Amino acid sequence: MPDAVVITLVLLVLGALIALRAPIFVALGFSGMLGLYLLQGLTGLEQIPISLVGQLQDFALVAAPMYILMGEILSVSGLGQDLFKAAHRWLGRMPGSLGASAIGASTVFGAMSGVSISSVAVVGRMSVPEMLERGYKPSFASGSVVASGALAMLIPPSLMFILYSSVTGVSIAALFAGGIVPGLILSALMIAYVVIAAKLRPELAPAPAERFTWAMRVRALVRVIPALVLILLVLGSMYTGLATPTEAAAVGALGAMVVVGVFYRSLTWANLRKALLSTTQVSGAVLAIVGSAYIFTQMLVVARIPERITAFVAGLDVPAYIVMLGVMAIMVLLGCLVDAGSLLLVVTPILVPAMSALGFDPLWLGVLIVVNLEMAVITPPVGLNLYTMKSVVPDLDLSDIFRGIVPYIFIEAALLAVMIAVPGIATWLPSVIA
Amino acid sequence: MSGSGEAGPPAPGGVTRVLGAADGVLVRITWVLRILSGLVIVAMMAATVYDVVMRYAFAAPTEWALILSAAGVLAATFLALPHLAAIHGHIDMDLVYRRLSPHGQKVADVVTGLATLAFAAAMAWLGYRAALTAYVGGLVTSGNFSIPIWTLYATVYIGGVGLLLAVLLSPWRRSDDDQQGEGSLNTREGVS
Repeated sequence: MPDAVVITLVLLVLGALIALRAPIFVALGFSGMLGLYLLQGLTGLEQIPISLVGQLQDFALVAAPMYILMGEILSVSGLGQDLFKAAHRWLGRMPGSLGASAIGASTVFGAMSGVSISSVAVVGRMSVPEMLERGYKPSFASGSVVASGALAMLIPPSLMFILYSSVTGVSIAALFAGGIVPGLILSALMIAYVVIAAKLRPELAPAPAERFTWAMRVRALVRVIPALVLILLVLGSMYTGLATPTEAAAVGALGAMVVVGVFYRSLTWANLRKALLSTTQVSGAVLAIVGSAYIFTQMLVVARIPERITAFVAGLDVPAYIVMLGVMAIMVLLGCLVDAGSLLLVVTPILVPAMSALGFDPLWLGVLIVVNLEMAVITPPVGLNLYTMKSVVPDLDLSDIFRGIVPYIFIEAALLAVMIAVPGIATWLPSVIA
Repeated sequence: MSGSGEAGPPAPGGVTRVLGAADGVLVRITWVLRILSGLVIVAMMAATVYDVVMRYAFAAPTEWALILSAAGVLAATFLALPHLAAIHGHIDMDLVYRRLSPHGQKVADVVTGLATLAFAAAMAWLGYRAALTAYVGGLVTSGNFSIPIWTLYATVYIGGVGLLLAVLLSPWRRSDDDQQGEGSLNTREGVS
């Protein structure tokens, strides 16, 4: 059977299985297995255990369960509430202060957890009901949390960057550094939007009545200082060269246990069990996809697909930046239909060689892809953060949640466009740190 | 006339009862494997931190921490796999599925079940063969500290067998077994 027919058939099987609600790791593994069999017969199937072991027995991937564990331990500690309270005490006088505080809390929580739904669940659980109680429009209240929850994907530690590194070999530390500036810019843009919208349309977010003294602000800040020190410990050990990103992740996970146990006094058996269960679920589900995506990728390599796409893209008679814009537009559309992590694992092995052939930096491309995937998790119909918001505040109407996210999609699309025009936004900090 | 009673739902037949009980046992075993997966993650954390401390405090880095932690990723993944399959804890997309009729959803369940069975069987069989080949050949990982390679492939075999059984017995699963663990995140449609 010609390779083109095999690949077409395999892609159809993959799409059909995903549409029929097969677990993504099964859809990727089964279609990859089918392709290997059709391309190489029974010999091709020998690659299945080799791919699974080769891809998952990777020291760089140790960072994934470590950062997930760190985030889950911190999220069961009640730290989210303290972060939100501290942000509100400091930002309390500006219009839309509760929305801005939720974004601020999500930004800091994003620096402790690489998983966006944890951020939405932890910050949304207490901030959205409070905003609704103070008369905020439901769409305005939920939008700020749903969108800023995605910052966890961009601000280190980021699970997406670890996965990108495992596929491309680009340094995790450099990718983490590349996400910091865009993450902070995005956070600032989101806060600016909330403040301006609340100022222009006060009915969206009634002005706050209470005033906070400096003593109250300092007390709230002191409460979150141990967690802030933990962030500095993790990032500092990585960028001073004391530890690799993986080692920093392990130290961070242990540090989270110490912070939650000693300072927050909430490291109970029940909380530890809850955190471990969530960690095994998130890491098991993601790493299963990492392994089976590699089977699928091996099948594509056997059919020489990345090579052919690279040759095709390099031969295109259009400016490289137009190709990049086209790729990003396609990814935005795919992100509306497929889980962000799965999309990253499948497209990266195809995209990176092709875009590198056009002269684009894989580090920059990695940051662009993650900013792009930030839109994927907040875009209907499969944007995961939207449904996480609904599950933590069931009183919210899904249509309000969908409406609330629209301005943020434009903000993220604008940032993506600016980052394509100005690569330094993503590449400057890694170059300084290196 | 109503007296002795209206007939309730028919009592499950012998085979159904046995398969239901077998599935109950399987779900508990896979639960234990998932707990082991969590302990492996904690052990990876401890080993990596120990290595960092030994390197900086005593200038005596270990040779085993890195290798065991990397193998731990593999073990943690495949130990958690069967229980996540049993509780529908893996990532999937129900964008099309939820629009199907009940009959269409049943057909979809059968198709995805067959695909999962085929993939699980391939993992189990090929993992077993690779483990056996490595064991017979006495293959070990390279470096000063080495581990037998058959142990790595054995995790693929365990994950494959667990997944296979979790899917095979799923028609007899009780609804209270088909629950996510307490406090777990809902991974349906992703964890990004």
